[in-house]
Amino acid sequence: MSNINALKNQAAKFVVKGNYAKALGIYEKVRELDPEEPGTHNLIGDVYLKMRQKENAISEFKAALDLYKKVQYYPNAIAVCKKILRTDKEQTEIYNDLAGLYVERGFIGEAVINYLEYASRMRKQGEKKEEIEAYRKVIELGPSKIDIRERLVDLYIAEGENEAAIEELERIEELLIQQGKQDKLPGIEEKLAVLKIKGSKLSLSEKKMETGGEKELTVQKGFTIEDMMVGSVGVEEKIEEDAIEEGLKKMDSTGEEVTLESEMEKIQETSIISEAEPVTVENLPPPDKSELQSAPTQWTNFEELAELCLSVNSKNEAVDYLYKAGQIYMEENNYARAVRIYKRIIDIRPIELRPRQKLIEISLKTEDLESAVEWNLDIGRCLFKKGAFNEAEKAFGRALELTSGKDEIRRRIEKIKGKRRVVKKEEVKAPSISLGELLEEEEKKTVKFTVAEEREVAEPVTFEDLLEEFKEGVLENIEDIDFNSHYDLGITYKEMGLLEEAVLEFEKASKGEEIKLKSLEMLALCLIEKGEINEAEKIIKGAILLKSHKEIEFLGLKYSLAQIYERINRNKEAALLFREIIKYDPEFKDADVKLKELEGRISKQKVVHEKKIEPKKRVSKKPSQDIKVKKMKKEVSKEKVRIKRKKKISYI
Amino acid sequence: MSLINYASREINCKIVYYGPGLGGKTTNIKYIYSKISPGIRGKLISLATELDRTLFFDFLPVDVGNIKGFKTRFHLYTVPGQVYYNASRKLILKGVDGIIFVADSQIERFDDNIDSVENMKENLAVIGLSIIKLPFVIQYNKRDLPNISSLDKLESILNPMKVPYFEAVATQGIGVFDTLKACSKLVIRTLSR
Repeated sequence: MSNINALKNQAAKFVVKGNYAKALGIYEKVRELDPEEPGTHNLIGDVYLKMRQKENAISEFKAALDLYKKVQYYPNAIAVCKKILRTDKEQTEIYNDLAGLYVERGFIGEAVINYLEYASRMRKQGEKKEEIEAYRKVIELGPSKIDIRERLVDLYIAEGENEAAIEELERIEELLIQQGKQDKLPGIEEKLAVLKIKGSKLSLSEKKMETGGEKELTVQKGFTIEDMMVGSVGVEEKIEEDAIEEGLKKMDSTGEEVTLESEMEKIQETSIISEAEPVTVENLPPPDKSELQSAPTQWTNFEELAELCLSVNSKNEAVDYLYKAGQIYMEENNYARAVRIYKRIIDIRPIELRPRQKLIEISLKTEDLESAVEWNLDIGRCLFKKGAFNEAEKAFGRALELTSGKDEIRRRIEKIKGKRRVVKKEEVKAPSISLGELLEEEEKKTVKFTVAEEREVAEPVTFEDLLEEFKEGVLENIEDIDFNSHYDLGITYKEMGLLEEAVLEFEKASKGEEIKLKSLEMLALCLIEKGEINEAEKIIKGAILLKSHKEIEFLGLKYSLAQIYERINRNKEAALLFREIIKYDPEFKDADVKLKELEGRISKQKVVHEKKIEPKKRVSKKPSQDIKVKKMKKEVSKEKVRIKRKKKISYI
Repeated sequence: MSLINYASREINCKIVYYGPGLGGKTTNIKYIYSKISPGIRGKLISLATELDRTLFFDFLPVDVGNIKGFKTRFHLYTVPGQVYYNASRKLILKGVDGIIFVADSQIERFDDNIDSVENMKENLAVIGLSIIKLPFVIQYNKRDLPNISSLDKLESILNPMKVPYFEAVATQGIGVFDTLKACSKLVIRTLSR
């Protein structure tokens, strides 16, 4: 084991130095020694990513994923799934894996979203059975989701599974009644009737074949077949027409194409999330946790969901829902309920600052000064516990400002401070503004200000964390096909010297035909800056071959290539490129200066080269004699000059 | 230092909005985004933490036309204001072509403004730059609030170099474009030399 650790450390050092090939070799040895260790596959995948070998990276990540699943280490498995999708969003089966893992972890909302994504992708691939399976899983997680059930009905019909479709429709009927949505019943009943007619027609034909005669058959609810046929023939034709034209695969019951985006829109429409809030996995309310009889009929009942999460000990999720519920009550000015929610959060997280800030805000809004003072004192205590003494002082100061009974409050503050013996008494500032001003100011600052301070005192993050968080955010907000934004991001990263990130962004941008060339130019520059000369050379050579561009557009690339050649002493090739550049633009950067320097270097190299060939000649005596003669001639000429000077002097 | 792409004949200039936390840097950039034509701007990348503070940086690319045959784009950035994000601020300042300092006019933020200016100078020095040599403009934001420092006081402390300054109410867009225009002109002048 110690050997493995030593090898891993060694490999990690090579990774830091950018020597990925060596790192890979060592990690592969580690993998041979312990093939069942998922972490090693993960590390190898990372190295492949750095080497821009995506396929190999994904293969390793998948191996890691399988092993993590095998040992039921779900958090890591989820992380690996996300990494795979970050590397390649088209790894469709991973959405299914991820959903399953979220189920294992009890994150139902995330599970549903990933199943829906998987279903959407399966539909695009024409894999109806897989699509059906995914929707079935969604329904298992959220049985009251009527829209998903309706979609399943359409799929069953398309697949000719009428019995299953009828079963679903009957379940939808029950749910509509339970949810008090009787107005939607006729549509479902009509569909149900059509399907039953189809079944009946089949039975009738069978009977006809058996008996050879025609009998009047009745179906449920006392209708005759003829009655039903007259009344529903249009609907039936429409369904068949749809089935033919659309294959019933692209349309949901409303006739809209079903995509993850459209799903999210629907969810957003029915939820209480404010318009300003972007739809993300985080703010999407998940469906029911399990098959609860009293399950909320929409995904918006955050309070119930929070309690549900608490019942399965998912505290973090519960708190998230409570904050959402609190925010909604605040927006509705329903302060009594908001207070209840924030107090509930404090029960769960006893020293959390944010709910206290909210409570202060509510107290001020409702002019409940007593509560405002108490909550300021309370937040001061929490800040003390967190070691944020200056911030605690400010909170106590605010409490002092808000009360006329300063002595009592001051005594209480001193008592708290006495326990810590950290903050000096005189640091507590006397109030300088009136209560009215303070209230006005609080209003203006909004919740954002007060809440924001929590992070400042409680959880500063490292730059690496920040960058990762930022990248995650970018990934969620910028689609892969938004090539221009990826290009812009590449520029920002490059300017900051974050070359690894810049490379990834320019790679994405270069997939956009319109900006391919300029992206490749920047990509090459980044690679040169990173010292990955061979890779840069490949990129530039490929870019220069791109068609439908004018020669002038390649000058930057050629200049970079010339610099590469210059760096690796391929001076003639470099000079050739500089000449080409100057031919089109004589003032392009410092190409002319570079060319002169190179030509000088090339001619010196020539001389050296010739001298290297000369040694055999030196063996003969003639050259040495020549040198002697030359020396003598020089001396003679010098002598002549001296004589001339003397003569001149004498003339004067 | 402007970044040039020869394939597209494009110059990218970097203007950074600097200043204390919650001073209105992001508000400036968001207002600009909301008012300029989508045809000449890129996507606004503005990610906030769950506490609604700038996550790493805000970014908005804006096309400003041709200069010497090169399509010129201004990349507008904001830095995160919180004290402990100094590493990010240093990175964002790399390659900067112009700085807009957004000061918070509120009396209680006066010291924060001074700290932020000092921090900016220190960070520039680390990357071998000086505010004296850079296009630099100051914006005194939140002028609509009741508890603000006087302009004279702000000027005397924050603007000893007497660079162009503007009073602003970024939430209403007042002074936002004036500030940007002034800085842009200085950057273009430097670029044209």
